[in-house]
Amino acid sequence: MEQQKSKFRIGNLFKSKMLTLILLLAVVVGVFTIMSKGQLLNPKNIRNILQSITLVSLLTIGAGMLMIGGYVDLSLGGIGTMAALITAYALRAGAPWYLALIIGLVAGAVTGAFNAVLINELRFQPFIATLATASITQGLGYIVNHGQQIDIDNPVFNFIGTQRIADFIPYSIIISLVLLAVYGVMLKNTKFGRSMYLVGGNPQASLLSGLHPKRVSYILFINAGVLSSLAGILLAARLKTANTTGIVNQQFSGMTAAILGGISFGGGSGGMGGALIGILILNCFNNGMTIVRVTPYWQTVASGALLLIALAIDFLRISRTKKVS
Amino acid sequence: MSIIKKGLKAKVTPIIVVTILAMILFQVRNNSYLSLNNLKNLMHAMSFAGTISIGIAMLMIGGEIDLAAGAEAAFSGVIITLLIERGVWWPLAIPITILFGMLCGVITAIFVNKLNFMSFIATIGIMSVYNGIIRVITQSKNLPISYQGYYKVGSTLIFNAIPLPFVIMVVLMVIYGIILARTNFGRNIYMIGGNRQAARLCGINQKKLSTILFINNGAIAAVAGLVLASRMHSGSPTAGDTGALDAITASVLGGVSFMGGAGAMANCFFGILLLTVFNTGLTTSGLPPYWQIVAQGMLLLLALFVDFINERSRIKNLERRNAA
Repeated sequence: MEQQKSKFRIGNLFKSKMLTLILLLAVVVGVFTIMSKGQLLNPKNIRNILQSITLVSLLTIGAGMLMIGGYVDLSLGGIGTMAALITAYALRAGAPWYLALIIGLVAGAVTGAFNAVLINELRFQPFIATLATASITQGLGYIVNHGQQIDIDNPVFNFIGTQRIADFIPYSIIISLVLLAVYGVMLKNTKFGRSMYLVGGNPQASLLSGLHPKRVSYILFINAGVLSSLAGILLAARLKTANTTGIVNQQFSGMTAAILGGISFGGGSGGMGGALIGILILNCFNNGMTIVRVTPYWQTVASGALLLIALAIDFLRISRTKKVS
Repeated sequence: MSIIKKGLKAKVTPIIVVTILAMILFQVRNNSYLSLNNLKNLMHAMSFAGTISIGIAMLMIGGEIDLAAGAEAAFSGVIITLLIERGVWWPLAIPITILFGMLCGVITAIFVNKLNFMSFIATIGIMSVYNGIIRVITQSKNLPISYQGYYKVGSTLIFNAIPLPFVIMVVLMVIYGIILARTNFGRNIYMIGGNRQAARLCGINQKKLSTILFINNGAIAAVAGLVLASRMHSGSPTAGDTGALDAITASVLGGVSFMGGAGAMANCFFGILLLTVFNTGLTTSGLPPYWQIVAQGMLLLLALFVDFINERSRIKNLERRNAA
């Protein structure tokens, strides 16, 4: 009896998402370590990877939560970029750092709420509505300072953006990891977290069982808006300047990492543990390409291909679970 | 029949009204706005996204989307440049490029119909793959076309006023408009877009139809790309960056429902007209170019809002009729 139980567990482990993900991570790390002759795991390079993880993980949490709830938001890059510019503008106008930060985050929250209104009250398709918000926020980002970048010269922002613990671990990554843990626990262990899966998996059923899919969707969009604003602001703090490109190019990284990490596009599945490994895979992959000197153009190709691969893995996973059931 | 006609009229009327108002406004701000020269520019400017919007509208009516259409068009522009520069006779290079576009469509169709990816997310991936490849080929520079014989595709003026690219767009719109409205094939597209389940039960092969639509979209994007390459005298890596979004905005503005199953080609024309009137008008009024980005998002929202109102009144009418 005892033996049977343990066998069952090992079998489960092999079937589990986590193991596939960890294997994939090991493959990516292995391949790039060999190709770069060990440079990938060089402490100096790990330092770089840690830096890029900070940003992508915030976007991944926002996009991933939305995807679990069955939504998508293509305006996250635009929101983050706009929020960073607004924060920088407020700082330049003489606002204290906490006020500037709050203004930036509120701008993100308001845009997120705007998306939720379009989708819930006016019944627009999330994808097309957020596409419109994406161009509006991007345009507003330009308008904030006539298309010019705004330099940030604030000790607190500089500290968070550029300082590291023991000159190695950036302080900003603590924010990301803490948030990943908090959201992970919330998804797994709270009633609200679990209700999200039901809303994403079957909104009709969730409504009938007394949940409020509409309220959940408002929360998710506002949450994603705030998190991407934070990502945009942290990037600006690191660069000591907010520019109009901001995190526009990183927004699909968040989605790719979430899908890689097992958050299904159809909604209703996945978690933050998987997402963390998805983030690691994505960042090792991107960083690996840079250190083996793949030209930026091919990196664009590869990141698109990675998204398609992530979707293919998602597809295989879904078709396998269908077969089982 | 008259009800359908009325419905279409109602849908497109506000767009035409807004277009005319916008034209008057821009004419007031800058009185060369409605000059022949600027109207020529307007027609040139709308033909690229307008042509792409034909394929996109067909896909959207069928309930799919292709965000890579702009990249496909840019890719085709680069391909025809390479062909002509390698000495291929240009009338031969055109069909080869269109075949290439169709191949792009086949690739998308495999992802969507064989692997069951959602079309919008799959085409985001495909878009960045194509954009990357184009930049690798061109090293992110414009590839000039040195053979001048090919320039005339993009620069010929008919009656000394109407650019050939505009004529190509209109002719294609008419052809596809007729296909949509008058053929079995066209009506089947509405069916799969409106209610996939019902369409399947009626014996319509949804996957086959959607594959045809993707291939068709690739071919049309290729046409848009090769015409643009001729006009710009080069294959440009960035040509398609806004193409797909412009085309989607135009289609939605023209009343092609994003949920599938509704819309028509004539409306698409007015959609792209409004979008282009806005973009050129903002430029001639001397506003910085980034206002165009905001305006585009606003117009898209406006279009969706009009769609929402239409849909609601349609449902209300249905309810009233049922109650009576």
